Formats: sequence, C-alpha cells, structure tokens
Amino acid sequence: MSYQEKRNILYLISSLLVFTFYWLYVLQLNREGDLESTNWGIVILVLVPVHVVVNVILEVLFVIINTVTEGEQEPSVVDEFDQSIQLRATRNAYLVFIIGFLIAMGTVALEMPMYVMFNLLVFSFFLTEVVWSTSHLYFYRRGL
Amino acid sequence: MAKSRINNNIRALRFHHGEMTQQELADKVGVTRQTIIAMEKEKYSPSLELAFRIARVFNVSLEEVFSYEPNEQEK
Repeated sequence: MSYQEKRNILYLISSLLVFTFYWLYVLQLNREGDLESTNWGIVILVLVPVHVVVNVILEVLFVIINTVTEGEQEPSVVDEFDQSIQLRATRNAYLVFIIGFLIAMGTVALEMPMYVMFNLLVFSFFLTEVVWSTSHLYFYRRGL
Repeated sequence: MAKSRINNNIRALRFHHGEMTQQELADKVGVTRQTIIAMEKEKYSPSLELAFRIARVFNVSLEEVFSYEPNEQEK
C-alpha cells in the first residue's frame, strides 16, 4: 500500500473517530432533552478545532510509526497524478456537501427546529470527508 | 475504470538502463514512485511534458516509450 493510500485511510479513521464522539454527544443531549436549548453554533465552533487537533495528532503518530516500521518517508513532491486525483476527489466531495447543504436549508424552509439544520450540516461535513478520502483511495487504487 | 489506450515500455526501458529502480526514475523526472507504478500498470497516462521528460531520461524518442492503441472506429 502506498503512502498516499495509508494517509487517506488515516483521514478516514480520524473523521470516523471525531464524528462518532460527536454523535454520541448528540445522543446524550437527546436523552437529556437538551437538543432545543443547546447553542449549536458553539458546538460546531468547538467541533472544528477538535477535529483539526485530532487530525494533526493522528498524522504525527502515523508519520512516526510509518517511518519506524516501514522506513518510508513522506513523498517530497505533489505531482500531476496527485493533483489530478485531488481535483476529482474535491469535485466529488463538493457535490456531496452541496446536496447536504441544500437539504439542511430545506429543513429551515420547512420551519423545522434549528438543531436539525445544524446536525444535517455536520452530517454533510462528515459525508464530505468520507467521500473525499474514499475518492482518493479509489483513484490511487484504480488509476485515472 | 477503462484501461488507458496509451501503452508504454517504461518497465523494459528501466531494465535496459542498468535496472533503474522506479524511485530513481521518479526522482529524475520529478514525480512520486506511485506515479511511475500507475504509469507502468497503464492506469495513468502522463501529461505531454512528463512523457517528454521520461523519454529524455532514457535518451529515446517519445514513440519508443509510448504508443497509442486506436479503437476500431479510428483504425
């Protein structure tokens, strides 16, 4: 497995980890009946940096473990193959996010509670990341 | 995904140039080893610029590295 593939599996694990904890938190709020009273803006503003920090920690661990066990260094260049894959993965991820965003706005138009809109947005962030990483994996495996 | 209709002799050329490794070729043309692997498996057709750089490393013409396989309609 190439370095790029391993790194994208890592991003996938990171997203799954962060969003699993997030959904557990939402379930907890639901049990306590606090969904309506929670300030979702703050929750999302906390979620984003937490996700970034988890990503950084996992990436540092990955680089250390990969260097020690495989003796493999991070590729020093991002070439045309990487850029083409990045472009396609970003296109797929963008499409998923736009669909999620429109559905979230639809819930506002239907006058559903705000927490529905915020959680649909978070869910579309999650799906966007999953699609971005899996698109990378798919194109690195299958070629362009 | 459909296999590329651009074939190449990169693997054979590497072999005939002192068994050059994929990493050595990648370093000479400024790409990653992953890209050389993808090209050798014909899963990726390089840009014209990269194709010329590869031909230059082996000191051969572009046609000696890459060939185009036309489909039935083009024949």
